[in-house]
Amino acid sequence: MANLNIRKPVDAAVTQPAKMFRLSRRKFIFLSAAAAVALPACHEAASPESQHFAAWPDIDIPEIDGPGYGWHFDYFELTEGGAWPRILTNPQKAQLEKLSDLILPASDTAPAPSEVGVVEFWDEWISAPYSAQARTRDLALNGLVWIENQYQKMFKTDFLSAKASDDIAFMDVWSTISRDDEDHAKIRKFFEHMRYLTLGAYYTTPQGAQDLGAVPNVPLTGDYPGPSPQAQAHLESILKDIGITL
Amino acid sequence: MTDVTKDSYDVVIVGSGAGGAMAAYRLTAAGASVCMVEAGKTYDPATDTPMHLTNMEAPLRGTGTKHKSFGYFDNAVGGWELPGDPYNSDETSNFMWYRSRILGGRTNHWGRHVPRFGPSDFRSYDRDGLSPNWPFTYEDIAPWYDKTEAIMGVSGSNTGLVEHPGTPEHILQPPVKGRVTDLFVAAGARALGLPAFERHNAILTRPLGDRLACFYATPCNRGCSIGAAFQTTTSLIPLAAKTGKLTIITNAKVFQVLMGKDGKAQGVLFNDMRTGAQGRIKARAVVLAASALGSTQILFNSGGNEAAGLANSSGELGRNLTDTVGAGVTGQFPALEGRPRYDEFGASTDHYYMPWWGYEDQLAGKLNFPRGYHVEIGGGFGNGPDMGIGGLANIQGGYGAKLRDDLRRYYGSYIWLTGRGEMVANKNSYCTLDPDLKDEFGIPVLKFSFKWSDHEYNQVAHMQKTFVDIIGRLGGRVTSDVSDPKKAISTPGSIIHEAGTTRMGDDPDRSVVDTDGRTWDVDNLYVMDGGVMVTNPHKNLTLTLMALAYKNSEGLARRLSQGEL
Repeated sequence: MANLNIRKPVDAAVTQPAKMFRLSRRKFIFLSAAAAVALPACHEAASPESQHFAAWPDIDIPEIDGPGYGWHFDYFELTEGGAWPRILTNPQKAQLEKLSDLILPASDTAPAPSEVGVVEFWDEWISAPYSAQARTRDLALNGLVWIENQYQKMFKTDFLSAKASDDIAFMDVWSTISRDDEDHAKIRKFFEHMRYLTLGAYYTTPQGAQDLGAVPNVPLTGDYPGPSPQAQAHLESILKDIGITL
Repeated sequence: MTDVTKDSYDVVIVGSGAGGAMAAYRLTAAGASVCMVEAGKTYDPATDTPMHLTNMEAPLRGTGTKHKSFGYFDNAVGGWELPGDPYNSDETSNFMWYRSRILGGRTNHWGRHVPRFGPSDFRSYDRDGLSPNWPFTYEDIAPWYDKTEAIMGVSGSNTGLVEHPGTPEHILQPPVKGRVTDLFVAAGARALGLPAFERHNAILTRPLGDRLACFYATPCNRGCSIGAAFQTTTSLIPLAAKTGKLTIITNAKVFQVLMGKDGKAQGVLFNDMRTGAQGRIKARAVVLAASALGSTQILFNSGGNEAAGLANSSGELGRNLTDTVGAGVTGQFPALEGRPRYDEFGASTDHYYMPWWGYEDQLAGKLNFPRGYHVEIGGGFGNGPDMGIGGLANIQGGYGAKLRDDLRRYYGSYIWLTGRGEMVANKNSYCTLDPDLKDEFGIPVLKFSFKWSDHEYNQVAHMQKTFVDIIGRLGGRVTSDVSDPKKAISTPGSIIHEAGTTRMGDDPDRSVVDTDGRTWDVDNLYVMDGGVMVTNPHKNLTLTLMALAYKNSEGLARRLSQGEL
């Protein structure tokens, strides 16, 4: 009963900044709508450390108490996203789209998150009537307000209008908050959670899996062959390096 | 109240999982008319199984929710929390109870690891005095293991180890080849003098009857429409149905054994899960196979004015509650970074394991815990990336193009070693009826008390040291917190191996059922699920409870045919 192919969480972060990325195409309709994001007033702490960061907004987050997909459902009717109403506004979607693409930009051979439906994923996830998603909702909706405040603080501009060089400067700061920095723990968690979900959403698409080199498992005829010759040779090589034979 | 049918049956079986379906299979084969009652929905693996859909097609990319604890497409219909069907746990226990609500019960969702218990597992009292001996020996049950494995279909290798008995070669199907992660860990374990073998799985590598061999794609726990992964809905239930002797009633939650004035069971009472209407099924004999705790709750609720419940003259009903001990350690292996990709999915579940190796050391008093554990090997490329893959970003941190490179580098470089150990039953771990809490139909429900003891904590400490040693020998980096076994041990009930609450024995003062699975107090009332386990060895209990159901159903059929009931 307990042998579940559930991927386990991995270890704590040792953060290092990454310097190079390339933004993907984005939808201009979101860009223009997002410029109108309203910013709640926030009170900043006076400590010197906090001068780099806008305060965490702690806005009221809508509670969602829908039925979800329930205990008894038909797998084949309820696919392609949950059946709950979506709550994200277009400006919020535009922010999340840009954030996802900053976290994992397109490469020469693979698309950016925005090109494989990440906005629809964010809307489904943040709108879901389940407890884990409620935690994301709190973190992400506060975080989107915080980002606007932070951009105003750092660059005197809004997030979606900022220059690429501003985005790099922001990401370098945002992604390197120390785990020892308890004053900005929520800001750090916001980054790590956004990254975690962006990567999950991205690599569960066919394009993402392909970029990872994942081999699709398809029905086989005959016995399972085990490791490929190349994988077997690699295994024997790494064992030999530590003085073990198969 | 209305009767379900005009006729009564020879036997009514409560539950359609491993025990109940085995009972239905053997009883119908013997000519008995059987009514099987399932609390959950009906299910047809041929049409209701989302084998080939991807997580991208699922809500939340397949991530588990309270409605689907193990992921959207997993066929574990049921849950830790069910609407209108609560249970209680005292403040310090935090006991978790997973209830299945689907035809086939928990055989829709299990590891399919089917080791036999070994000779010492049946003689615990002789070894350490901490639990009773079983009322029979390994040699007595071995033929029933043979029969059960032959109909279940088992693949794997025999270890040749006395305490890990093998399956006859004419029954055992060929093993599935190891993955890189299996072979890597097995090599590391053997380098430390520890055993590692291809394990026995209830997964076909060769056709068996109408069931096809595994095609090595799609997770078993979504359901297997070709019948390669053992579920009762593709095996025992269809076989029983072919006799024309089986009636199946779903969405019917049995809450009470119907007793006659003569002290014999006359059938069962149930609530229709959709309408709330009560129903009654009459039979010459009753078999409870509603899971260890489900059957226990029914017995507690069947005592009429007797607060102790039915079949509880021993006072052992609800006592001796155990769950498997669980703990794990994860390692990240630089040598596995960026390794060659290939189809590593295999037969969905684990291919290899490490059977317990410390029997002699325990007898010699060299270990500070009395019972063993086995090791399961997880990790690798699995069924492709899932929502958890974002955790790989934590190794280097950061964002941008380098993050993309890091994901490629670290994908498949983690392995987790998981211990599954035997708990010793103790007086602090039991269930009773909650004095106040009731289900949606007004039926009292269970309340749990549970405590691990030093036997289990010391066992977990040993697991942790072993896993750290293996990871270290393979050049890996331990990424789990191994500082405190009390923090690492599994939540009680969470391994879903609960057992013992209707314990079997040869002494009516110390057990609820006899060697034949018949309650000491009611001549025509049987229990055929994990509740009868005298001990709960680390060797997963499904095969053994099915072998007991096989044996005891034959005994019941004999009594029916001889006019005893």
